[in-house]
Amino acid sequence: MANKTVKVIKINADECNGCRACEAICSAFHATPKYGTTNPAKARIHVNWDPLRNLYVPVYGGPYVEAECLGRDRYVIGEKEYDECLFCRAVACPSRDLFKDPDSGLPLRCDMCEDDPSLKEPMCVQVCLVDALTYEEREEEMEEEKEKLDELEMGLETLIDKYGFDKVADTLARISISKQAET
Amino acid sequence: MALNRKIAYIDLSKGKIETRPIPLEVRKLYLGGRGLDAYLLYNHTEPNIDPLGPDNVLLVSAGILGATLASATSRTHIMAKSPLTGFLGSANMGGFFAPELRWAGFDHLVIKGRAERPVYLWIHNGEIEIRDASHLWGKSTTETQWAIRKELGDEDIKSAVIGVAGENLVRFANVMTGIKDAAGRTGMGAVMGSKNLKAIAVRGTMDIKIAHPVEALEYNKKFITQITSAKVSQTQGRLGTPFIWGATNPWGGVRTRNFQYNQHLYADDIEAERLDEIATETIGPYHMAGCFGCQVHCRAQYRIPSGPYAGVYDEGPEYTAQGAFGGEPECRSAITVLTGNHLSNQYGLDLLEAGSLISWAMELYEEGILTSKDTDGLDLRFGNDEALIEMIHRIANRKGWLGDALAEGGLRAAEKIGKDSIKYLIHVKGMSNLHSDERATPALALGIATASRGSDHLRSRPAIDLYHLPEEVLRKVYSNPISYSGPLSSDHREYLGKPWQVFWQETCYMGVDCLGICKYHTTFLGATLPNFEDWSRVLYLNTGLEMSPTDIWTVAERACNIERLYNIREGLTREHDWLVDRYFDEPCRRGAPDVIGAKIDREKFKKMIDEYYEHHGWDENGVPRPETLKRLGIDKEPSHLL
Repeated sequence: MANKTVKVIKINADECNGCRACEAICSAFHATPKYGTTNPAKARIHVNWDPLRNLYVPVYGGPYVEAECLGRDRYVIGEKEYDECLFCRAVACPSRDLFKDPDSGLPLRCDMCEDDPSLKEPMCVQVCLVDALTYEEREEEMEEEKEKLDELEMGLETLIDKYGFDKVADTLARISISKQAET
Repeated sequence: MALNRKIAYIDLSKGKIETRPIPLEVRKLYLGGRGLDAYLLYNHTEPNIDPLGPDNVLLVSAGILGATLASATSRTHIMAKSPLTGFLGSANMGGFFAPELRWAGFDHLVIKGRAERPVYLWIHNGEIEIRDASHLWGKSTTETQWAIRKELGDEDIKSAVIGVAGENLVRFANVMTGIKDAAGRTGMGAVMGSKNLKAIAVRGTMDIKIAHPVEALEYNKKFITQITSAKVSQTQGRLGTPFIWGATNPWGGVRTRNFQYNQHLYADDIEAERLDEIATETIGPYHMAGCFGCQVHCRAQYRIPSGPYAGVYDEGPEYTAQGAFGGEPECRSAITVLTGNHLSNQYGLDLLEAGSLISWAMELYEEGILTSKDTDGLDLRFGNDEALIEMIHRIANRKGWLGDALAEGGLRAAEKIGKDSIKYLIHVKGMSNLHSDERATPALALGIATASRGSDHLRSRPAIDLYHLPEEVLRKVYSNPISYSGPLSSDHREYLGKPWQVFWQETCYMGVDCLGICKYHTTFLGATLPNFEDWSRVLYLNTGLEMSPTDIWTVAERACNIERLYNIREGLTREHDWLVDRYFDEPCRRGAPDVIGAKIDREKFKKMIDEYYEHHGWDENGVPRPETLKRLGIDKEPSHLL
């Protein structure tokens, strides 16, 4: 057993006013070069938005899933009913377009704005002046962690799921040969 | 680059769509938004066209900073020849439409012709499609937006739509996005309706490139501190614009009973605090919503607590609605204000114009110029809440003789009603005034008299004139970026020096409208808020465009002059830059000691206008002098650069 710092973005949906600054800054932070573009479609946080029902719920991209789930939930909180999937953080779920890069289809998962040197708080929390998003760290006892997939690996896994291992391996080999030929 | 967004020419008659890049030299001349719209309107319309005919051109645009890392760049600008005034039609709205339009690849839409049947535009990642909208015709503004989202299967689609008022060609119908964000004035919704265009739906997933990313972000932090530290922004974020009422009504600056009084004595129920209470009770403690990327979040949400519309959700009301459905008709109930606001939003009606015209009709009714025969039995007295609400329905649906007459706007209605009705109409260039009473404030009066789209408080109003700021503070604000050494006065009753303030504010507001920033983020309600110097930096860091504060000033001046040229081409003369007689003849009867008895002095006001023209470089008839046009490089218009 070992101690681990768990990073938490706490969401207070009541305080959210739906300005979507978090989406814009998230997409900017993860752009190349950093802050070089804005495009909320590439953000790893999404404000579920239905002003007709005064409903603003920010949700950020969580675990990657390959298939959609079977059961769907409905939540009734206070007097409001929340749609199925609304709170779901699944990344790249086939049932919806959320948390997929619009160009490549690659999954977009929140990485708490990993950076070197590390940020005080993730960018979405920094731009949220009404404190709908706040940042917390807590120590938790954890079992030894399995090796985590990094972003490239995760992307490759998605491609493998989509096209099969052989096709991806072939393509990689072909690209590497042509690259070598160029140099 | 954030500058690679295109312009699309859409001919609804022929179903033809053409897209083109916007050359850098045009950007440097007009930036974008309202400035470039004004240029396009001048260049793409023939003189004296029918505003509701196929020859009118509807221009929809985002500002040049839209969707960048700058703050509050949510503004959409809409322009066309106004069916209400016959002069420049121009309106601006917040929300999320403009940033989405930019992510979809466009900055400007030039919509011409007239579709044979109802259509809507679907704009998605560089592509534009004209789609059937027969099934949307007759729907309210929100129904339409949600129906489009469902039809196209994307919750994040943003649309600019018209309601029933626009379909019925009510001459002051507006264009709306979201629940209450409205490009309200000058009847842009009627122009859309005349083109059989129900909605423009946009969704984009294309990157907006930032020229100098890290610096842009850092600079914006300073910008944000400047905004959030201003008291006025904080109050606005808590109460919305109704907070202004708390200052202007006790002071005596709210038109009541059309124009009979300048203070609403029975306004307890429509005060900002009361409206805030209702919002808290019906929505909860967090009832303020924001437009894209804005720190002010001044849009209140509410449910109507009782009455025939009990439980209905809406947003607002703004200061305007308090006056239009509270002050002017002398209605006392918050329910009336909230209901009127809701109905106007659903019908897509400019509530300012609607409230103002209904109050005018009320005065005519009490004066016996309108009879119960004209109103189809409606008891159109001042303070009759039900009659007010009924008239909103009638105007939007053009129901009954009076509803149909008022839907034509003040001047046309006055012709139909006849008798002395025109004498009671409070308008400039055919557009109704805000409920604010400008008799005690010549600077504000000059602003509405000379505003390019007809009577208006968002074109050149030096609102900080009411704060009695020390002269050195005024000088600091108003001598930048162009130096000014003439007189300035802290006294709101003064005439001297005020024309410069109006001229400066007009240029400043043109600046924000070109950039696409909200007016609450510049020198409007707060003297410490950002203007030219900050814009110059923000513009460079976000778009790479190098423009000094003076360059931006010149762009704004150029755009103001194009608007003036357009108006003159459509028949505007010096006489149109003038107030109705009541401003000069009837003194204020209520309010603070510095307001009671106040009225505008004709001779001094004439001089003010002379001085204002002089600052602009216009001759005594208000026509831009050849050397002014030459200096601004617009002496050979139309030049058809785009």
